[in-house]
Amino acid sequence: MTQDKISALDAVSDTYHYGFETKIDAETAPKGLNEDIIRFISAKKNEPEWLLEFRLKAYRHWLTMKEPLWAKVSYPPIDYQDIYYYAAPKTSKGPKSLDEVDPELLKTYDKLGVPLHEREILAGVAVDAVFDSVSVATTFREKLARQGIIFCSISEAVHNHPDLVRKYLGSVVPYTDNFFACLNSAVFTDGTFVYIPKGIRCPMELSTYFRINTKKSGQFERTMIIADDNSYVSYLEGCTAPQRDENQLHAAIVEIIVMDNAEVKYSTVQNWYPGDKDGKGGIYNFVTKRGLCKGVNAKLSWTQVETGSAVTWKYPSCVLMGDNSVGEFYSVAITNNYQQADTGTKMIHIGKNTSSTIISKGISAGKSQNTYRGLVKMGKNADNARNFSQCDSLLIGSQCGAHTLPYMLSSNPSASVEHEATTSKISDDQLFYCRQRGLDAEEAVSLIVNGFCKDVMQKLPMEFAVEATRLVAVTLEGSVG
Amino acid sequence: MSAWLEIKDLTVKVGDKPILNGLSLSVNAGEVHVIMGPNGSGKSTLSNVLCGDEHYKVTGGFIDFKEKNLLEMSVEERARAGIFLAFQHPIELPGVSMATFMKYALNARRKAAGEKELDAVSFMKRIKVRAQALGISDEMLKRPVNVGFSGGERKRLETFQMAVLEPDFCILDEMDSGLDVDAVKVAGNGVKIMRSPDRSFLVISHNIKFLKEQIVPDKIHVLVHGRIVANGGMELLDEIDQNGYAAFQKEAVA
Amino acid sequence: MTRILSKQRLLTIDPGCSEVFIEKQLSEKTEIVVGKGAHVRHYRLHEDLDHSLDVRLEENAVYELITLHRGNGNLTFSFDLTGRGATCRSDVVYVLTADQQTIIRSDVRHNADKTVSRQLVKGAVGGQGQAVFEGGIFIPYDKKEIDGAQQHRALLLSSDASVKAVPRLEIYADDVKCAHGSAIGTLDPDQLFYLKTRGIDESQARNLLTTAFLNEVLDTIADEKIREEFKQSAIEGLKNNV
Repeated sequence: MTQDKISALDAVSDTYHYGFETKIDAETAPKGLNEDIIRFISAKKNEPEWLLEFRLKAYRHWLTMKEPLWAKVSYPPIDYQDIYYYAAPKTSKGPKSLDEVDPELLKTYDKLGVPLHEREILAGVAVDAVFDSVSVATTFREKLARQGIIFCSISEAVHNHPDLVRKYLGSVVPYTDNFFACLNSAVFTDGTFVYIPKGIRCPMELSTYFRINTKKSGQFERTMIIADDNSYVSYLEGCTAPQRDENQLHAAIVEIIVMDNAEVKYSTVQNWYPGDKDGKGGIYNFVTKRGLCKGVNAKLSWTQVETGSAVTWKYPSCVLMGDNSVGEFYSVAITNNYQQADTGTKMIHIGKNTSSTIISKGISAGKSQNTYRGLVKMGKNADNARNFSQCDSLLIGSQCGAHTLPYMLSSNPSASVEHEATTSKISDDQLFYCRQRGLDAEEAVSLIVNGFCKDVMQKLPMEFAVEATRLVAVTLEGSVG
Repeated sequence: MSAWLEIKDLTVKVGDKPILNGLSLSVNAGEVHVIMGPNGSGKSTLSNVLCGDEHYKVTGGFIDFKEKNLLEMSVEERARAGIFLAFQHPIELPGVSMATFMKYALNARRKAAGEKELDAVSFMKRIKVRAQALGISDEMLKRPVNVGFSGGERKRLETFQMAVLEPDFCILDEMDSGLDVDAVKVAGNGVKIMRSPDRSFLVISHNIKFLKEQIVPDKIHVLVHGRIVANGGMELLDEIDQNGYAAFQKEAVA
Repeated sequence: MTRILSKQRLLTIDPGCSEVFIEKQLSEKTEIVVGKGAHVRHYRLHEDLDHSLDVRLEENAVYELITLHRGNGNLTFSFDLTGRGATCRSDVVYVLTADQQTIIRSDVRHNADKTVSRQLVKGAVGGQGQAVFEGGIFIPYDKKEIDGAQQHRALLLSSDASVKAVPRLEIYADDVKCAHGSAIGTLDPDQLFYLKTRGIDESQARNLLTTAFLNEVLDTIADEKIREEFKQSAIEGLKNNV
């Protein structure tokens, strides 16, 4: 199957496909951050008092926090007062149907390949599209609603399902968790909310496309997925941003709760703008993603392909609380030019017989730095817990760096933790062999890199795998020769 | 008319060490030539230089292929022009299936020739027919290139690639070495099937039985100290079989 | 010839020399320079101490270290491969019991081309023992043909024992072959069962398997006398532990 996916790789000649800017009037809050801005956001969204309180508490806590410095990334200081925290496409009310959605917006999504129109949705993907800060349209909702599945923007969920949101907001990622999560808790503007009721297998893959459009705006979306007992859902997230010279901040939170015997698959193809070949511009992607396997036999699987962003700081994690729960993390991170990625996962084993698998493939080219950082923790009561990690790095060119920094902690003798890592380069022999068969050096590198990533790529849903495979080629352009 | 492949006074170094010292050779379309010689005489160097391996430095002479200067072409340009090397030690490409690999290779070649890329159906047909003929299972096509295959299987897969890509000029670098009797026959059969008036072969081998029974070459050349010291037909095989290379080595020194 | 060193602070091995050292009494800090082409085998046996060891390897030097550490302590190792073609092996065995705590830090720096490093660290922790292993392999920009490997394996022998491992690969060059691995677990229940079916009681079986686990390192000591002494010491350390 994967081979067909890889075969679908087209030759792509231009560098960043998604670097267009959509001309839409945006309604923005004044630049900067203070309690008034937070009240403005909350009022704009007509939020209940408890949510405003949550935001203000987070904001006040954030003022006491310092930006984390331990990651192997460096960037000039971010001026948090020079960012727009709220930017919405200017329409008086939320669109009632697709007909009301700004045609310019729809065109943007066409370019992105988001199947927003109902007829395209028959292809089986339900889409929630987040444009700058506001969720513009959620498709296919009715069909899902018939099964009791809630798939909407988090703002809507706040109004229509306040009990669920209130119960779980901050329950997996508390606002005190870290600097960026705290900032998000104060200013998050929109995002996706998913609830799968007991015993329901979500009949289609749910999908959100995020896009940062407005200049100097930050994107602070918040995604929440709750999979009740015996349910299943596969969720896809895609990201793009226009090409700009200045850096843009993206500080999202994803919280996932998985109950007894439920399973959640979360796949990301992250293709934020990485900056140009001299390292100018690009997205700062500082994201906190965490899932709680709360119930017995719960399963959470993260798959990510990270190709974009100037700086990535991201550790999708699993807290394995329920006995027999399973956490998985499959990751491909590719950096080129001046990109920096510090990414990995945390597997926190609390329950008995919990197991986790980590497969990470890092590819560094150009002058980029690529770090795998992971934590595996076996708690005192994690009897017979199991972890296996495999982290491989591939270096292309002599000016990049690849770093592997796993942390392993075991306090239970019946638990087992196993980590293996390798670092190597593409061999001259492999390149020669491919070129002797007629491939040019860039095609050869892309083929070899896709082979290197295959174990992860085949975990992606089909439509994402094709895109991801092509992104490998695009990201590595100019890395050889 | 000049030959298809024309090598004239070729000198090649690896680092500071001269390996080929004025080698000349012409091969016409449709001919099968054999290069023999003692170990270290420069046989594998010759095949790698023909393919454009940058580790070898050409310090003199020229190589023309179909009246084009081969030495000015990159590795992949030569491949697309129809030069194919069946490697003595095929390289592993983890995670890359043989089917994908061939699709890339075939399309690269077609693109260079201004032809359209093959659609999925015609491509699969093309590789399946050839796979069947060479006793290669679908499962082998799905597995990563050369990873976990025995020596014999790897050589068979080299033959398979040759059959898929249909090159004009095939260089077989000890494709029979390390194979059992049956596998040698399969390798030989591959060459027999591929033989055509539009395709030439340069076969490097020590195996006289293989050459006599399977390859049946048009011409034999003996390479000693980086130079061709003898040319001939099948009769040369018998001579080498009986007396080894000693006589040729003396000639080379003299 | 084997030399016995005591409280050594600086040790310089002349170019081309081949020597075997054994150390039981250590000062706080030892520095070793292994000269061009020299070959050193270095064995260290210590208990309850804080100590640091800095080794510098010059061109084509070969340095082989086997350390057995028992009990408390902070150990810091630094291996600096400054000469082209140098080879460094630095194996460590640690044994902890009761409420002992140890922190072992090791850094291997490939500061020259064609350098090779190998490190195997094996630990057995019982009682309420706590072990931390932090081991790095560092390859700076521009270095060529580097081959580095590190393995850490730890056994938890009681429910109150804990081990933390932080291996690090930091690589800024592309012409490298590098690997690390780390595993924390316990004795294989199938092996234990097998021994018991042969009439060996639980504690003996555990002892046998733990000793065998540590001996993967200690068995590579070439000199029989030193080997037996180290193995005996490891067994002592495991007493009342398994």
